[in-house]
Amino acid sequence: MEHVNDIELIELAAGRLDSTRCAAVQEHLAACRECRARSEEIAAAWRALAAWEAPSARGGFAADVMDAARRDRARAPRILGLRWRAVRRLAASVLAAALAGYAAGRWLRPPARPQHAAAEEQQLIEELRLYVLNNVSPTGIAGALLDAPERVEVD
Amino acid sequence: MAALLYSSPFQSTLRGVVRLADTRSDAELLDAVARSDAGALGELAQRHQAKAIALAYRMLQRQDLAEDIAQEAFLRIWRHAPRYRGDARFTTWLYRIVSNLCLDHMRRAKRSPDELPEASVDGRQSSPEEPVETNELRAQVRRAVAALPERQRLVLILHRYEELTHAEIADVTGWSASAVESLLVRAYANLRQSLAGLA
Repeated sequence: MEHVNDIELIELAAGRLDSTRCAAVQEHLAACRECRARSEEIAAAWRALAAWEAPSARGGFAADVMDAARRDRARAPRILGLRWRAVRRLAASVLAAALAGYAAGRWLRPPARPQHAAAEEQQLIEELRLYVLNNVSPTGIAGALLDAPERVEVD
Repeated sequence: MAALLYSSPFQSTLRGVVRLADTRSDAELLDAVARSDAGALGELAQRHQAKAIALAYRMLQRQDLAEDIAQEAFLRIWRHAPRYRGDARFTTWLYRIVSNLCLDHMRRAKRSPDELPEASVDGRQSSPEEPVETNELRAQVRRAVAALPERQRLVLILHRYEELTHAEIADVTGWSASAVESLLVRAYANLRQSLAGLA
């Protein structure tokens, strides 16, 4: 026989068990002394707690809340005549715009050329210099630069 | 017609003369609070002050503090209403604010002994018109609840006095439903010992 757990006994004392479960628990309690004892203790604690009433709210509480709210609104800090909330919105907009600009700048900037490409370029320049030095005629240099798609073998 | 009456600039004067029943729902009032309608906040306070004060009173056991906490809770609603998403009932939000304020106060009080509860400011400590047994029972219950750890105390009060379900308590506290049930069971186990032989 499975015992009833404490949380169900608490809900039974509170009168918040649904009717089906309530009937099943009551049936079990009738047959189980251990659960019945626990149930009675919980019910006694539940009843005892009823003795502690909270004080009723004093008159004028709601009016005090309204006054405090109006004072709170009047005290709200202002910067250049703007309410704090408006200042925060403005600052957030400026920050968002700055971040968007920074992100766009990074995204649009051409990627840095890889180091090996620069080295190859440097090597090509060196080779061209050698070519220039080995060719006396300036026309020959121009022809080499403009026309020759293939690398010109250097003697 | 109701909207005209309550949006009128003469609403405060009118209500001062004749107490009008505000038929707006909590959500509608909160909407008005978000538009800086202090009258709507007053109506919400009028409706729910008893709940807020009772919860704070039972947590802190001081009526003066309870009223301060309740007022601060309504002020927070005033300040944060424009950002309220409306995914929970107003009372859940109110209980949540009051609970957090009480827990904060209790933690501060632990660090500063000056803020410990004082029986002298508790209006409900005893009443000469009531039988001695009733006063004694009330005092014993107060002591038993005060002796509970703060999370057990909060869950017990929300369940026993505010009649919230486990799921609603979980919404208020942000703890899981199983954690709430476990706290409730432990709270009642402690109370069974401290209140044995009463009632």
